[in-house]
Amino acid sequence: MIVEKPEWLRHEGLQIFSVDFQPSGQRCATAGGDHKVRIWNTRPLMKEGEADRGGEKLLATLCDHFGSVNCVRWSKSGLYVASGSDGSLVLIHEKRHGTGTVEFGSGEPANVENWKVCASLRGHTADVVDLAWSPDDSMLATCSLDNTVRIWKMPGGSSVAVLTGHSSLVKGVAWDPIGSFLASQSDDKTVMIWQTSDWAAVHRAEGPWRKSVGSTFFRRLSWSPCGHFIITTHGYENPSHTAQVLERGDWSGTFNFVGHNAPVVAVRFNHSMFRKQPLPPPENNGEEELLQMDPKKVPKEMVPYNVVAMGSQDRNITVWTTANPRPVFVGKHFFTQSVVDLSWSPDGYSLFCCSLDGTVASFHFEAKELGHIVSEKEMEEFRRNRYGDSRSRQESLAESPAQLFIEATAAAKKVGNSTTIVSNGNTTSNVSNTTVVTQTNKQVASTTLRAQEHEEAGTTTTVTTPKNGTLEKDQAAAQTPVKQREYRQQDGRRRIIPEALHTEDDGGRKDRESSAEKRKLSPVDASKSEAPSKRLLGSGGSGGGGGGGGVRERNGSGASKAIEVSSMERSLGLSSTTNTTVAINVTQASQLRGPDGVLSVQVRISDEESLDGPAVAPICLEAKPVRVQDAAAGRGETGETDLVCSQGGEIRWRDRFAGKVTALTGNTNFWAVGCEDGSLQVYTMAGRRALPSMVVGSAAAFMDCTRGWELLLLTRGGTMHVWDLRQSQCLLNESLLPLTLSSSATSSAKESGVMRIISARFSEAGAPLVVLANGHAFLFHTKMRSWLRIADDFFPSSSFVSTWPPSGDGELAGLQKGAATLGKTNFSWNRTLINEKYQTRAHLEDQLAAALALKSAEEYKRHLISYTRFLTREADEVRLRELCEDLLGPLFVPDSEPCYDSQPTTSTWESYVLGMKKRELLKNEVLPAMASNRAVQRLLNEFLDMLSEYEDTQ
Amino acid sequence: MSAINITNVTVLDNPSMFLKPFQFEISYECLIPLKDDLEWKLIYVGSAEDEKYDQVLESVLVGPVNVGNYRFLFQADPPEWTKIPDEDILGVTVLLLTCSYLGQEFIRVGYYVSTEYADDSLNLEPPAKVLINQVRRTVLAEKPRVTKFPMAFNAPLANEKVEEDANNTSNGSNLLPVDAS
Repeated sequence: MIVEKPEWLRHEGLQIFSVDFQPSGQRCATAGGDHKVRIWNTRPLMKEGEADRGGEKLLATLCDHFGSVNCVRWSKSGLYVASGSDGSLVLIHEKRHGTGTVEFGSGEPANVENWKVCASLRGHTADVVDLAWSPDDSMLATCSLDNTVRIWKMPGGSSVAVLTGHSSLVKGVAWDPIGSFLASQSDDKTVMIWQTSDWAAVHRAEGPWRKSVGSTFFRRLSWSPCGHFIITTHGYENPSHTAQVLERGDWSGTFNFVGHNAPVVAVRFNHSMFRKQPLPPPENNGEEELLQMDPKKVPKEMVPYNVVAMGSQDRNITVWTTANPRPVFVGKHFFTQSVVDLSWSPDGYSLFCCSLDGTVASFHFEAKELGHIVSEKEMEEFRRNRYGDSRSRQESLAESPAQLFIEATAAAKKVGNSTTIVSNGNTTSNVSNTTVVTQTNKQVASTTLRAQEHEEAGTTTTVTTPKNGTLEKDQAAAQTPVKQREYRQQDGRRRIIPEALHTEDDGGRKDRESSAEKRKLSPVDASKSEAPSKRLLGSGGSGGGGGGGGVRERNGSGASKAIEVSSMERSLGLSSTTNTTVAINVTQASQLRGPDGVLSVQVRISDEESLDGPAVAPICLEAKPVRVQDAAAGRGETGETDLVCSQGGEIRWRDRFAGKVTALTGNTNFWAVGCEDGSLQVYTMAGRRALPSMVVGSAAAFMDCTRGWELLLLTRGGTMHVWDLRQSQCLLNESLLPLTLSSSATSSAKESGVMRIISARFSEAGAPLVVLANGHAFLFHTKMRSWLRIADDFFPSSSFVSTWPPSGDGELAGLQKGAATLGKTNFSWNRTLINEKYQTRAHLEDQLAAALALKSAEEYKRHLISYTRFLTREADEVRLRELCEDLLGPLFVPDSEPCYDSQPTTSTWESYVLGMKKRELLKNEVLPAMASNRAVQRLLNEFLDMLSEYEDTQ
Repeated sequence: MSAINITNVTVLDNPSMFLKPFQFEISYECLIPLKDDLEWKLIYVGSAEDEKYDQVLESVLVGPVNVGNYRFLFQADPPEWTKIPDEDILGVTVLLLTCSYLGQEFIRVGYYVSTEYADDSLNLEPPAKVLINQVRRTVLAEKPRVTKFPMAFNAPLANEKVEEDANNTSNGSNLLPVDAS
């Protein structure tokens, strides 16, 4: 055995609270009272490393904590370092590409390796004392002086659970190597066992800790690699301090380790088990035979045992094996203060101990002292035999190449999407083929380019060049002048846009991140940089209120400029797309009420032939109340109405009748006029009265028509009529009464019997649609003969609500947006906050159904993807399965044409939804979205297999 | 964690005459994007005895704050020497460079500054009235004192507030739909 105390392994002479080996053995981390975590190269520390001690010893100093760092632990993967400190903070560090940096002002040398904080876990309310990674690195357990243990999902750092149960400071945590349990030890003199499946406490052990006296920094307990034992700390059994052993199962304390003269503070099992004799050569399959043999028949020197090290307040270290009642090794006089943490090297033969005296000692053992190490493979086998296959719990592994493939394609798709979004801003006007538009677009582009150049020049003038005024393009050296942009905000404050520096990172994670950031922000940047440049070009204009020399920019004006630019682009886009709207014969009629009671409606008619001609003037139908020019009566109205139909100022026909007109509509086939007295007049295009006056009972409130012959009328009495005028047939005669009752958001409306309606019209798919004043939208389902509420504000806490407006180009989105904005003032209907998760799910399901009812295919597809993503994230297999089954359908389906009618055949399943093939949807949208969470990969694979099978049969 | 780390501060034009502006080239790295600007301040401690003599020389906003390494030039006017007690103009004082986010200071760099006459003969026999044009200041650039303060950069303040509001409203929501019949 060799013992060594490296003098250079220090935390400025202050306490070292924790030490931990990277599982690969290359590095070792220590944490100390100097608020720092240090990462060391282990090679100079190891026995065989004596030869080359010239290498860098200290690889990095991490100065991100604000208090003493109490614990540091490597993840099993060796990629992350978790550290917990005084002041409730837990940090996760990771190594990034590139060389390390100097911590400014710390007086430390530059780090050799670039370790950076990648997550901070906040939640504890007092000092964090100990922490432990789960065996599969998916979780981190931390314990604190706030009496709780917290579980975090890794590597993201979201909180999974808070374990409350201890009544005093929690000072040690240990994971079961199988992953089923977590043990924690507290100053309340108990050890608690928690099960990881639901984080319930399964056992509370009150053993010999009850008699323990005094206080220790830590109670670092440890779980044996075989999973069977937990060795706890700080026990006391008269007359000696002990380390109590708990056994898996009934968690009873059967025996303990006795001998220390002061409380045991830390215990650490070796990662491996050992046996007295090395295994016989593998050719006779000794390993497997041994494992299959009855344990009692295995020769004694072949039985594997555990090795454990203990550190105590009596400043001594002991090393024990579970095969021997006496310690293998007792180390005295190595430290002047309490030993607080221990760590075994990955090879199992070196032990590192740290002490409050600020030193670390390393002990290198030999095989004849500890025994022969049991291979990792054998350990794995051993655990599997004992506890079953743990692989089922490790969902993070991809189980099939298909999963990986789909993940990759989904990722590629995502990237593609984002880039198209970025380029969108500039290419909107390129939609049409006309050269004129593209030319103007180019002009715009070139002007902005020029503007940017100009801008660049502008900035150089604002920079005060410190050394010599020459401006160089290369920015490598720090000596070059800083290229920053500076302007003054509206409130007169200076704002600097800093110069971005290129570090020598190459292709590292950070680089990728920042480049992604850049890509994401580029459109914003463009508009921002454009805005001030405009200001520079057109100087004068809106003279800055700040006054004074130099380039002074007011944020407000910049912003407005940016808006101008974007609106200009939009109008460009519009002008180029007018031709595409020509393809549609008739655009929707719009109804306007003029200032003096004139009601008018316009119908735009244009033919496909008139592509290059000037746009045909719309035909306009106006209803003017007839006024008596009698001076005595003033501006009296006779109650008669003039009806004038004109096109481009030229009157086509006119009519006059008694009664006031309340609603008008029309299309290329007919005009319809609703009067206050409840009559309805229908005219042909040429102004012939096509029908006698229809009497509907009460005045028309809203009228709308489709492009064909269907006319919708909503009377003030709350009845909705839909007629087919060509067939002279009533399609619908329905009361709006159900809506008043259901949408009681306007409770006052219900009492007074009045309902406020914003609009009643045909949806894009031709179904009657009513929007109430509170934004709720109702669609009449003609087959079900009932109203469906398709837009409401019942999901205020759904995480999808806020994302609507940006994507609001569909019909449903428009309605939703209205409901959301109007609903905001209406919090009385805000039911108690149900779990956001459930509300989001319900919301998405509602959306999906509403899009289906509206027959808005694009939105249906979009909601389907969001819904799938949501279910995937929640790993809701039941719903996902149902969704996929519906899209997949039964095996034998005739590949029929899209058909909206239900087929009265044996199979009721339709292979199309809203004109999209369900299986295509499943294959191209749903399954790729499911690839994002490997927890549902089995389901994914199942449907992939079925899909390919189905395709083969056809 | 700290979203912002100062990677370097170079004091330019140092030493220089008292009445010349201060110039700092500040390099920093950002680990997580922040939605608000950073506010940098330069404070001249006029007198060690009394805080009221502290002068904020300049305050600038720096942004947008995105992930990456950045640098900028921070220039500030010299302190108004008339506001400094006469006995404190010469000697050693402190210059503070602070950075805050959302009004909360999270890092502070302190420098010692020594002020004396450029001409040694004046130092030996200082005139009764300070000749400010002759005073030279030296920032001890190689000995910065860095203090960090804990700060939750992405604290979900807004969310908490919303939740509170929602709770309040739900308490008063006895306006559930009543069956009209």
